[in-house]
Amino acid sequence: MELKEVVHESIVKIFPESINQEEVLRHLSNLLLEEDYVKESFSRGVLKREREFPTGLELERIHVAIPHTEVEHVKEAAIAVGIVKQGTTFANMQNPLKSVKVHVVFMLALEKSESHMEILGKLMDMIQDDKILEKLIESNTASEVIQVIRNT
Amino acid sequence: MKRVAVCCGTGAATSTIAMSKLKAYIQENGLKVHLTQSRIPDITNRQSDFDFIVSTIAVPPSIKIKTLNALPLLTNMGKDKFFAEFEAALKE
Repeated sequence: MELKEVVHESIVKIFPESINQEEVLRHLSNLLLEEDYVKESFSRGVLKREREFPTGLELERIHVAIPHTEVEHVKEAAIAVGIVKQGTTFANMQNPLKSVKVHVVFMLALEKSESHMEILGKLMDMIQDDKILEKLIESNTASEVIQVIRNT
Repeated sequence: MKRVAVCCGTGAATSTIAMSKLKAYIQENGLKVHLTQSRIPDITNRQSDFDFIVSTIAVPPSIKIKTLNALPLLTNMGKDKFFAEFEAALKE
């Protein structure tokens, strides 16, 4: 399964203004719910998990977050993408006391299956490319974000 | 043979990536080690079943055994150092 198969314009959002983490998480969960990729319980699961086990990843320059929750809240595989122009604070996955200023949020609605884990692997490979992250944060529309991901 | 738990918070996402990268490394290098994928909340009560833990998330104080940070397996940053520490932990 390819990344482009699980990221759709309908679940991509550009956040141009300064915004807090919880708002980003709620917004992206709502998009996933509206498009029927997740159950109603998904949003609560994501917020709870982020509080207990944060998902901020500190990379070389542009940092990301990969919020997700238990697979039982997922109906169909999808990855919602939030481009936070001003950056928003997430706690660091490895050291929750440290914060990370995140510009790209990948909200994962994935199940435990092999093909879904394959997609996650491809996402992890993609985020290691600073140039791709750069293109993502420069995107101003959902369509541009999809193009960047399609071209990886 | 050492028993290693590969963990994250939910037991599905990041631990699966860590598991597959570790398995590949072990096979390539002919290492003998028993890996178990799990979640931190589940192994808190069975720490004595393992020699050490490889975790993508920060472990709580209730985890007393040796823990290696598995994030390099996700982000590729500091991967060589991770594998060096992993092999050293196998020899302990």
